[in-house]
Formats: sequence, C-alpha cells, structure tokens
Amino acid sequence: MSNPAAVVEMAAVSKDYRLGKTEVAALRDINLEIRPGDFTVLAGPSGSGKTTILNLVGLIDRPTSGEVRFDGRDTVSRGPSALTSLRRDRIGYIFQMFNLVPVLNVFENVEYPLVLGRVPARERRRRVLDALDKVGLTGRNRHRPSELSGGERQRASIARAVVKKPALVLADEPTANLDSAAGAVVLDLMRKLNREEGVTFLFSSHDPRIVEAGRRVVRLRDGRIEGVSDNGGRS
Amino acid sequence: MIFLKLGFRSLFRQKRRTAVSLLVLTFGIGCLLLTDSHSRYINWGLRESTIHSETGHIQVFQQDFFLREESRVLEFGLEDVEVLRNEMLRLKNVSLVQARIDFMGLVSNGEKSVACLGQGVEPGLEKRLRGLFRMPAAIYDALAARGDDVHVIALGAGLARSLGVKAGDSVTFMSTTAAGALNAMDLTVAATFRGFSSEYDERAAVVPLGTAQLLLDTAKVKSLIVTLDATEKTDAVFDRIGRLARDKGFPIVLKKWHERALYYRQVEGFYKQVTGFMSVVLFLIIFFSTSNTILMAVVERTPEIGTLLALGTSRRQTLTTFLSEGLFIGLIGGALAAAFAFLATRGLNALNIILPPPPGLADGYPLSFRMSGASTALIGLGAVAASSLASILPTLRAVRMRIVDALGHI
Repeated sequence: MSNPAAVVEMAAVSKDYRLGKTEVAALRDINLEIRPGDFTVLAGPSGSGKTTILNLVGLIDRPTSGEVRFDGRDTVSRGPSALTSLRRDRIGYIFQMFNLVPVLNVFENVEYPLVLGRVPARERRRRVLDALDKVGLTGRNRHRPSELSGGERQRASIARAVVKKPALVLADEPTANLDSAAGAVVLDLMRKLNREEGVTFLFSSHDPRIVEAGRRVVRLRDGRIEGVSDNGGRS
Repeated sequence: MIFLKLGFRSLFRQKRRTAVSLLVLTFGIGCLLLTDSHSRYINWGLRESTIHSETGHIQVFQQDFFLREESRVLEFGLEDVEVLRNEMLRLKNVSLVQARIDFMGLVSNGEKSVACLGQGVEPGLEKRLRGLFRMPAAIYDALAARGDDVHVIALGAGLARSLGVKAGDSVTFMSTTAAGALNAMDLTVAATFRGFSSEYDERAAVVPLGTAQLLLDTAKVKSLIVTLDATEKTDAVFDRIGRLARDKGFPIVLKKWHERALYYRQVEGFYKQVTGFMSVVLFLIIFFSTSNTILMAVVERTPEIGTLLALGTSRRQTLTTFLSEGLFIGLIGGALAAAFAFLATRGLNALNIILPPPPGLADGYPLSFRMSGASTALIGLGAVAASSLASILPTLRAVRMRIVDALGHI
C-alpha cells in the first residue's frame, strides 16, 4: 500500500549491476519512505548503496525489482518522457562535483530548470534572484562557474536545485569536495532551507559530522538498510 | 533559446578545435565557390561568345530546313528576308537581325587549293557583335572597307599560312552554285584572323554576304540570326517571333541558341561534372571534420549531458543543443567562406591573369570569376546542412546514453 503522505516510497527494491560477467548486488530489499519536510541522510561506507538509492529515487535509474513510487504513483512502469517531466518539475539535484554548466553564468545556471519548466521570463528572474539571495550569491550572478570557489559553486548548485520549489532535493555527498569550512556553510544552508522553506532533502554522506546533522539517518551496509535512527529536531 | 545559447557558447570551449573545423569549412566551401564562380564565368563567356559570334539568340530558318536533306546548296534557304527582318526588328528586345550563308568550297592561290568552310556575313552588322572569344572588329572593317566592291575575303590564319598568302594578295574561291553548277571568283585577301580554335582557323573563310550570293548565284540566305539585348529574354522573344510568323504567314522555323550550340553544351556539362565532383569531395571533408568536432565535444561533455538530462532536459532538447553546434559551425564557416570567395574573386579578377590555351584552342583565356548570389546561397546552405547532418550521429550517441552512465563518465 502506498502512503499518500510520502513524497517517495521504495518498496522491496533491489538493484543488480553487471560488471563483466559478474552480477553485483548493489541494493537488496530496500524499503524507504521520504515524507515532505524530511532531512534524511543516507550514511554508510563506499559501495554501501547510497548513490544507487539516490539514483533510483531521482528517477535516473530503474530498479531490478521492487517499486519506486513518487507522489504515490509507481514510476517503474512509466516511460522516459514521464520520468523526464517528474525530474524537471518535482526533483532538485545537488551533485558532489557541483555539475554547473561551464558556459552559463551563475544566473543562467540557476535559471535553467525554470526555462525547462517554461516559467515566464519575469517570474524566472524574480525566483532566480530570490534563490541566489538565499544562498548568498547575489553579487556573483554574472560570474561563470570557473570564477567561483568550490563552496560558491555548491551554493549555486543548491540554488539551482531549489529554485523550482521541488518536492524533493537529492544531494549526493554534497560536501565531499569542499574543505570543512565550506562544507559547514553548505550544510547550514541546506538545514536552513529545510527549516525555513520546508525543502525536503535526501542526501548521502560518509562523513560522521555531516551524518550527525541529519534529522533521520538511514545506515546502509552492503546494499541493505542496517538501521534507521531519528535525531529528532537537531537539523 | 537556451539550447541554442548552449550550442553557440560551447563552440568557444575548445577554441583550437573549433577553429580547425571552421578553417576546413571556410577553405573547402571557399574553394568550391571559386570553382563554381570560375565555371560560371567560363560558361557565361562561352555562352555570350557563342551567341554573339555564332548562333545569335534565335535562329530563323526556312520551315523545311530541318525536315529534309538539301540536295543543292540553299535549296531550303530563306527568300525575301527583308520583310521578315524588319518585322522582327520592331519586336521588343530585338537589337539586331543579320543574314548569314554557310557554304563549302575550295580556295586556291593558283598553285595549291585547300578545302574550306565559307561564311557570308553582313560585315557592318557583324562588327556590332561582341563576345569574349569574338574575332576582332578589324576583320569586318577590312571586309567593308571597299564599299560596294564585294571581291574581298578574310581568311583564317591557318588557312592563309597554308596557302602562303597575306592581306592584299589574291586568291580564287570555287564553289557550287545553288543550281548545281561550278563557279569561281577572284578575291582579294582583306585580312586574316585567329578564331576560337586553331582547327577552325585552318579551314575558315569569311566573305561579305553579297560575295557569297554572287558565288552561289542566289538571292537566298541560309538563316537570319536574331540578337537580343539580353540573353534572359530569349524565351519571351522566341514566343513573340513564333506568334508573328503564325499571324503573318512567314514559312519559318525557329531555334534557340542553346539547341544550336553543341560545343557550349559539352563545356557546360564538363564544368558541371567537375564542380559536382568537387562538391561531393569537399562536402565529405566538411562532414567528417564537423562530425569529429561534435563527437569529441560529446565525449568530453558526457557528464554534462548526464547533468542536463538529470535536471529534466528532454533528449530532444539535448539533441537540439548539439545539432545547433553543428549548425553554427556551418553558418559561421559558410559566411566566412562567402567572404573569402568574394574577396578572392575580386582580387583575382583585378590581376587579369591569362591562363594558357586549352588543347585545340588558339588563345589563352582569362582567369576570371562570376559569383552568383543564388549559387553562393545554395552552396552555403549545403555547408550548413552538411555540418548539421554531421552532428546527428554523435549527438544521437549522447542522448541515448543512460543518465547514470553519463554522470559517471570520466
């Protein structure tokens, strides 16, 4: 049964990869639910399945078995264009390597998801400037990504993820390529957006300091959920 | 719009590679435009020369001329041509109507006789014609210089050399009259000339129309040559003369210049083949060069493609981005090529370079160019199409990639 209150549900999800002639089980029987306003961290060592879960929840990969439901609807049976629409309208991404488009400036990078969503130009401008203000990049909107520090790039990436007001923001090791100070700034920003704007986050990390910041921590090992702990209102 | 912006700006990521692609395209298309412009000049020059020295725009014959074989010279010649000539001269765009007779005969210096092709012309009208390969007007001045004295002849340089005669010498011209009898006239060599080809020079003789009619003992002419103020008016005037003939009952048949210009058609066909072959080769070079540029771009930007797809960009939109890169390469390269060809043709035309004569021809010809706006646009569009098409395969490879694979690509 699907939970109508959940943004995303994974039910009995398994994912196998083929490496040459070897079948590798990346995920085994995963059951996970993300509700609106969650600030959930996927914790675990490398190879535990964190990124695979984010890929499946982010609808950029399909499970070998099981169901991934978004907004209560199964996604596994849906066609590529329907998944593209869901990604465009409902999901925001923050990448470990920032993944900003180098030939677009900060403003244009943040504006990009709104262009895809056919938001009118004036509304786009208002929302982009608002998002840049929230991440503290107001004065940098004409800069190209190559002219920004790592922390600034990740903040631009966060602005790009939240500007379209998605149902869920996914972040794969968002602080892994940042020094501790910049990482702390990024984490604080995510927490603030969650607390003040109600943005739902699902992110991964193997850094204990980042993991501690999660309101809910899903611990993974060898493709299975080892345990789920609730840190209460610490975020 | 954002996808075109992405495509355009991406051209400047790998400036050197883009520059090489643009250079290939600019010089490839530029050279093709130069070849096309030169063949246009040759075709134009040959066309105008053929029209003004040989065929006119329209030729008028007696109605049976092409239906039956003549058993005697000028059996199917035109009679009483002055009425028809005056009617045609009244038509719009007709600038000249002249009569001609072609005949065969022997020309002799008293010791040696050489077969030749004679042409009876109206020197005063002939000299008004000008073509690229036209014989100098001085020949017609020389033929007309003696006024009513029709005992003159101009000989091709090769023929004069063969007979060992020069201007001022006398020769005897023998031919068969329209009635089938043998006739001969003593003529003074008024001039010698070099025509379009050395083979022609060895056999050609030109006499005033009256001389030819006297020699052939006839008042007929073989044809009337109608020259217009512009070649492009040929079809319209052809129709007008046809209507005139029907209305006034002239027993004539008409031929357009193109039907009577076998050599021109052969040359035109030859240059079309050369330009066509070069087009295929150069477009293939452009295709593979652009394809390589886009393929490299796709490989290098695979993670970026993954990012854009993850953000909700559709595969069609991603395709648009990369296709637009090929399109921009084609547009920029095509524009640069047109500018290059324009400057090169202007510069080369100004240098007045004369190329050596081709085999069988007497004189060299100028290395000149005639650029055509329509042709430039067509070739430019071809370049844009080739570079856009070249982008399709590598781009399809990009958009078919699984997003997770693209994001993880190093």
